[in-house]
Amino acid sequence: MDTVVYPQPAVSQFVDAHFVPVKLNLSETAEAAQARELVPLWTPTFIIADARGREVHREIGYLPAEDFVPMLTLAYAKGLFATARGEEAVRVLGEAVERYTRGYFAPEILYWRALVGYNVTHDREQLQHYWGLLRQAFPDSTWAVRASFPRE
Amino acid sequence: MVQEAVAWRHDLAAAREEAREAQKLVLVDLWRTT
Repeated sequence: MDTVVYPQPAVSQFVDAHFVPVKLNLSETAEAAQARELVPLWTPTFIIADARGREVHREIGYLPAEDFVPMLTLAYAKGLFATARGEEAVRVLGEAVERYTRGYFAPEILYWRALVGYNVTHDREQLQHYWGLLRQAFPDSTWAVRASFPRE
Repeated sequence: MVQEAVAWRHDLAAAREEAREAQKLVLVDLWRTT
């Protein structure tokens, strides 16, 4: 991560804009003690939380730069949603849907665009629109499975 | 020589306070020396 992913300008600029970055080495006693409340199961683990420590997103395992920025974008939007900034979250997710049409996080971004948009607008057609796009574009995704209930 | 592109903090409590003041989220990278 330090040699390939974090030096990428797209990554470092996004991190700087939206996050306070903390790196804790679980091999160091003092840093491991700080991390204990986060219940790490494996490394690397990436946790995004608000200032009160409320976790909004967690990823376990290495991610390449092309997936790391979409993951951070999704986590940022979920953080906005969790802190009652739903309309801003919808805007961020909408832009992410347009930008990330492929890749590991594209289905999850579509899922959350639908869900957060519905929470803000209570527009069920919009929910079904985005979840329909999700099922059509990524039928094998677990996120498509989670978006399957409107058909029933 | 690898350039440190992200200004990592190593104090979680201080980072939360900084995030509160800046209205940002906290990104934690948990790693282990291999």
